[in-house]
Amino acid sequence: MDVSTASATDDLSPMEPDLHPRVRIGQFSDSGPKLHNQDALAMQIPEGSLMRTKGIVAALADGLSSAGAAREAAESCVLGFISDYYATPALWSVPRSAQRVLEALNRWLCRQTLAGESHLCTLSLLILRSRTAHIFQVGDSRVWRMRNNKLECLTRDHSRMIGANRQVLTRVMGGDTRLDVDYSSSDLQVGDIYLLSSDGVHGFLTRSRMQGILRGASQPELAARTLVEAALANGSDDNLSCQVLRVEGLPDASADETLKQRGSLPLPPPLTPGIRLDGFTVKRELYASVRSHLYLVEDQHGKQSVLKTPSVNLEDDRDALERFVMEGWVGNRLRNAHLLHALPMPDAPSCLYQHLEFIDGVTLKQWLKEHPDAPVEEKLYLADQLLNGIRALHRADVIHGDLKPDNIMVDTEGLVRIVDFGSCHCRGMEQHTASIPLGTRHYSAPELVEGEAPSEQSDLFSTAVIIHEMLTGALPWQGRYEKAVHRPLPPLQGHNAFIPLWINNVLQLALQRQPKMRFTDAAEFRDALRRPVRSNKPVADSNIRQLRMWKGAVVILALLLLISVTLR
Amino acid sequence: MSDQKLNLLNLSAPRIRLLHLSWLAFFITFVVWFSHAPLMGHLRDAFDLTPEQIKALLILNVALTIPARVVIGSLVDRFGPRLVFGSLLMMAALPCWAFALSTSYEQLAVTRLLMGFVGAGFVVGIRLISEWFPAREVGLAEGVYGGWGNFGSAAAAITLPSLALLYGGDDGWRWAIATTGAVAFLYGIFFLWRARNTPQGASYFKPKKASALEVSTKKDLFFYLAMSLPLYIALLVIVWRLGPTNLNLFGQATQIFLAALIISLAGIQLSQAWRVNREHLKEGVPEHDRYSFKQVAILDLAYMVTFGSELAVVSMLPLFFTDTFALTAVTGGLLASGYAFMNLVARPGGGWVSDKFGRKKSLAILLCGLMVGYGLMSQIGSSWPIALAVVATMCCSFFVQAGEGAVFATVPLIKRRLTGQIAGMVGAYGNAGAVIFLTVLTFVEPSTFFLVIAASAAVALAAVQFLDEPKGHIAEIDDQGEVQLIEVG
Repeated sequence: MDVSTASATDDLSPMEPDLHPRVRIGQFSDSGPKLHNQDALAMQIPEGSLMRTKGIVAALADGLSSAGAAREAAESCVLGFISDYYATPALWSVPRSAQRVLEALNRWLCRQTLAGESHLCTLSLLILRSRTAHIFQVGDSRVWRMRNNKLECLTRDHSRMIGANRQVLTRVMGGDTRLDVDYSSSDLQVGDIYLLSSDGVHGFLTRSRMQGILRGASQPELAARTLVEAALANGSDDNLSCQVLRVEGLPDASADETLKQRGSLPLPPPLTPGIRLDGFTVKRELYASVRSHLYLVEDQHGKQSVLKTPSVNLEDDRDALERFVMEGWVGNRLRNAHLLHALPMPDAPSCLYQHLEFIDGVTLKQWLKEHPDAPVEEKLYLADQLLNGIRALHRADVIHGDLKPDNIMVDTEGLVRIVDFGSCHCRGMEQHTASIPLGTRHYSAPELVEGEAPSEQSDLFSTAVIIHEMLTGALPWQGRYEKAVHRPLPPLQGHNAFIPLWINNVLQLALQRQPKMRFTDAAEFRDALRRPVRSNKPVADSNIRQLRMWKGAVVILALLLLISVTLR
Repeated sequence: MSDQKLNLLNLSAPRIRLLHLSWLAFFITFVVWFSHAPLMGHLRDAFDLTPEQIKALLILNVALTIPARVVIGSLVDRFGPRLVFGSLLMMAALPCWAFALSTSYEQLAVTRLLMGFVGAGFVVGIRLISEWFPAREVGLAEGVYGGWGNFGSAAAAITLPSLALLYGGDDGWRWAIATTGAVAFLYGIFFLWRARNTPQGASYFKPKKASALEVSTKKDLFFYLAMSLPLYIALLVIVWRLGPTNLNLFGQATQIFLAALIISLAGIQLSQAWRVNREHLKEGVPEHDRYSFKQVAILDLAYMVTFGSELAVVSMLPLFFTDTFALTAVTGGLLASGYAFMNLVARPGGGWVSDKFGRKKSLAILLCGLMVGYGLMSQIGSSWPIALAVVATMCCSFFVQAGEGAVFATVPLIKRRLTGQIAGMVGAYGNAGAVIFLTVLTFVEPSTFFLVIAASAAVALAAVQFLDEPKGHIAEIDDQGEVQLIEVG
């Protein structure tokens, strides 16, 4: 079974050469001496934005000949993966997208197997995106890389020898509802040749032979065919398939499609009321800072919206402008009642800005100032909405990075919205972490101060700080989070006697110094705030005590040692 | 940029409150820093100072400011402007009081040297303002900050002699100076209490490693290294001038030690500049990220003759007036304050002129005026009517301070990303200018001193001819009120 969604010999890069990896590909499959070809293979080089977000996919599956529906399994793995992978949200990173799709495929295969006909196959995947190769592997088909004329196997076979010459697979697609996928990634280099092969090929050729063939063949298509023929000549008794991808060009490390398109736009000047820009009439300035300006504007139909423009201070700060464009791009892809919506841009914007919906309301900071005596239930309701928004954000594989009361809006209906994605950490985009700005000191998790990358857990820490501030009007530990290790959270009732006791425990858990000891996700945090927890015991306190005890013991022992040495 | 508006009375806006808070802080540093100039007559009587000793004091006052700027700059990176400025003000009180209590020339000299640290306060405020004001207001805000703060030297010249008289007695000047220290100390506390590093809710961003300026080409790197040298040469000149062969303030051993210290400091800085740039030049600087170091060098020179001459003249003018026209310290100080008086309008005005009529043209015109002005001042003699002399100094100072404003209006346009570092280097040149001119003063009469400044202005004027008018996007609003973006070269 040979499925090819892209013709093999064309120059397969319709995109601009410096934005995406440029590759030549070729593949070949032969049933060999067998009656049916139970291998399946496919490659796809997508067009447009999918190339940027998802990259090139090569998939090779080898149906288990012992399985009843080996061919169907392999075929649906390969085709299913490709169609589902490209349908994952644009914001998801490559590993996350692939993992999700593989899990879904595996569950489907398992159900088929349980229904009677065993759907089992191996699967090797190679995804080339930007300057990185991502490799996923289940079973005994292989992914190889030839760099500097040396062929190297990048995967480990999931098989074991039983007896003298019987080999069994230890992992297959469709074998178990729990799927264990090997994942690795590596940098791409121009001239790299990637090879995916089924055991019908690599089981009958030595590595040096394969290396020689790859080196000798001028075209990937030819190389694939020659490999299969050579294995056949060596007496292969299985289906034979292989795919060859040669990297011919790589995107410039800093090149970025959206930035290329939009970052080259000029920066808008400071706007004053009455000025018209791309059909929007400026009503008034909402906010101005060292880094950005927000204007309330009206379109021809009198509909109000907001333009966010970068400050001229950022004129030649490429990182900052790139982030600004990214912020708009991310905002465009987030759809949730609790997240700020980015509105569509005009067809040909004359300068760099973001078009955002107008939220008629105040920041949470202002709201708290205006409602100092709001009942605890109302505040908890706001917190609940906030966590829903964060949950949606994290599900899109986006870390906010700068959650604070100024970045949360409460509109006149009482709906909570998270705004300002300018510090977003977007896994799908592989940003340079160094260029991402830090959050705000009092709302940043302690591990960020030590230089760790933002994570879901650090966002949840910030959220816990915000909720603490909402309920009590003060920061936990007066904003000195390094104390969180030594001292349990002071009871919230000291600030507001109406706060239920169990909230203390929830926040104590959410404000743990160690990211791993906090809530695992926003939903868990939200649910904990919804339901009173019965236990009143402070969490994780025993750990601290234990640590203290050991520290004390060490000090005493060191002292004793010192004394014994001096007295000798 | 051209229609900057800033409502300074709008005290409900936190950034306006901060502007007032910080210009006043800078103002007080200037009062403290130049408290000695109008009281020099008293000092001379109390300690029987020779003219050489007086001139040495003037140099010492500005000597430490050059290295102090670097130190203060990195302290601001680490601790934030609020803490640094507040403690700088409070700490300024110590050498100030020590100066007031001095019983020997050596003590005067050492305390004046330490006062140089106070002069580096300028850097802190500039950082603070740039954190608070959006781009379209920042130029004007910094003009107000710089101009009104510099006015502190005039305020010192006006008030301190009268204050000394008010306290009365031989020690009146001591009390006057001690008072400035007390004011600085109290205001430092107030500043710590009221000032904030960033506006409410603003994120803080990773500070860039500001160890050395990034340049764009190999040639510019050597240019940069060469331009860094004069700052250290200026310090070496001081050490030599104060040494045993000249003013004899310290012995041979100290002189060698100080020279070695300065040279090793220079070595460290130059190697840092080399290291920072070697790495990123190896990779090559992308076209869009390039700038010409020539621009920085020209502004360095322009600031050296403007701000450098201002600091130098402010230091010597009260005594010059007192001596030339045989006046009392009070009148001398009062008349000399006319020089710094212009700061209130001239410095922000220079920025405005520069925005309006183009950077290069305004700088050239202002430098021309400055040259003529100093030429005029060199002619001042006891035969002149006093009023005319005051008018001459005020005319001259207008061009000097407007020139400072014009320089700082150009600085952000060279390379936005590096504005802080470029401003740092330009500012350091201002201080070096003061050192150089005051050193010249120790050799020559005031009239020649003014001529030397005029001559250096001519050099700077020639250099400005090589300045490229900075590029930028300019926006025009057409008849229908639509924004039209035009790229200007």
